[in-house]
Amino acid sequence: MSFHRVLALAGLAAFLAPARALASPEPPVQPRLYPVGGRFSLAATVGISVFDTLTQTGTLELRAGWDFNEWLGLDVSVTGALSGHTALADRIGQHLLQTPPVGTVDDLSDLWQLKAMVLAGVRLAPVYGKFNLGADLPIRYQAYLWLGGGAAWLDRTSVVICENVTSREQGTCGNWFSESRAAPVLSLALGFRIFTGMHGAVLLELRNLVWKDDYLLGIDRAASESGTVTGQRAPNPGFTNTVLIQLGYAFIF
Amino acid sequence: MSVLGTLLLVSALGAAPEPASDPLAGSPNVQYRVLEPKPFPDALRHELTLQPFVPQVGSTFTTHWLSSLTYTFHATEWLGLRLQPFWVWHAQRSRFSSELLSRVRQDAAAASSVMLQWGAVAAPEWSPIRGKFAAFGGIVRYGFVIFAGAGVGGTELELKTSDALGPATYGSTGLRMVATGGAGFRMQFGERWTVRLEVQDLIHWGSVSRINGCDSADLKTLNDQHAAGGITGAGVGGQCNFGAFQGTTGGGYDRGNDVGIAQSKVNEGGSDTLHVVGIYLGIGVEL
Repeated sequence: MSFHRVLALAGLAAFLAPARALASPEPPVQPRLYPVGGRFSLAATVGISVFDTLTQTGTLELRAGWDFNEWLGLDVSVTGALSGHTALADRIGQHLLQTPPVGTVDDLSDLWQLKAMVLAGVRLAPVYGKFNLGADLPIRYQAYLWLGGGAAWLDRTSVVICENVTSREQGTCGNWFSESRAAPVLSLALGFRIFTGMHGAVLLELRNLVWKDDYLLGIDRAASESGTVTGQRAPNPGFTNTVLIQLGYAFIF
Repeated sequence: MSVLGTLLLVSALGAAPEPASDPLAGSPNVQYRVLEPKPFPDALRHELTLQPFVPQVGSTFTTHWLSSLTYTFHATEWLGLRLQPFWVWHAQRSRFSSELLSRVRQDAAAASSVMLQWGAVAAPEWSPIRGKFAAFGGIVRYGFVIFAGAGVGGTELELKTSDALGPATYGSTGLRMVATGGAGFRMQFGERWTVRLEVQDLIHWGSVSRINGCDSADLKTLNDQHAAGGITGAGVGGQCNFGAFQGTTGGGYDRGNDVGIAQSKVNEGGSDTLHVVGIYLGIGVEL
């Protein structure tokens, strides 16, 4: 394309653009009704795990946050959790116990359960908008992406290593092998702050937690049932990903 | 500054008007504003959305990756009807299911391991919430959509697992009714283009009573024939596709060995309701 044709097209585009603006002027942008920049917040949330396979978790979280400006904030949170095995995990353990304790087995991955957690992270909120609930109830919200990390206190109860079989026929165990540890945890969340007023917002979040897994391989079942746990730590145990849905309320000061 | 740049600057400065000032902005006497009409109405328009890569989330015993094409007729601004064919191009035993098999020698029940192969669902779609948001200096208009409907899907079941003898083999478990439900956001960019981000569940249920069309009695007959030297298909029902158990795979695996596996799976009994929850990100065009 020649230079003159480029010039002509560019000039045409420059003249057409304002002509469209004149024909259909954009309405003036309203200022934010609920600005958050430079404000402190305190929040409480409850959460449940979704997509549970072997473990299920419920959480209670207290969170303090500071918004540097309208789109960037920092949060620190403390979480307590109630967690346990799913019915599927219990059935796997029961069926295994009902088979004779011959040879070795490997323990299953993704069995660490969250008990407590401390997190800190940044909240990036590039989206501020509103929608109408019903005919005349405009709701303002912020959508954000949260990225951070911290420490998690975890418990693990095996569904493979039973140290005291109470009934082979029923597949019941009096003492499953269990262990505890603290581990670094990474967290990514997608969430909404749905403003109820200048000083409050409902929080709705989808949050994932990732920590390194750890379990035993090559466990001699007969030895473990007599109280001696054998086997070695998995060299490449991978990572456990837990997804939570959290709902809560934030007080913004 | 180049000649082109100078010309553009001069023409833009000369032509651009002052932005129209809003005479009511900041007025203490104005409490309500006239609603802005939708700049891009949807009513009586057709929308085609391609979701090329849909990963399943939260799988237990099986993993699906699929592609989907959604046609939506927007009957009104709020209601639409969608027709959605989908094709599962990757369905296999999940990592968890493989782990269960290899570590504690337990396998999921056949009824819990049925996988979708393809299907189509139809559903009314409702957009109860519309809004707009400011992001990165622009304004994006969106709608929150929910939908629920039903359709049909072809299903299959893994027979031989992938091992040293070759890749996994599968048997058809026939057509099933598929129910669906989902919700998500539909964002509009200009008059024609849309982006949808939805979470959708494809639900199917039932027992495994036939594999490749063969019921338990057919499979017993075929198993006897296989033990006697070759599958002929004599004496089996008309629905039974005994040809699926003949020959060998590319890796040299005798498909006749699948008959015994199929028979044990059909004889397991039981039924289950299975969910394939996927994240559907698609780009669409409105016609």
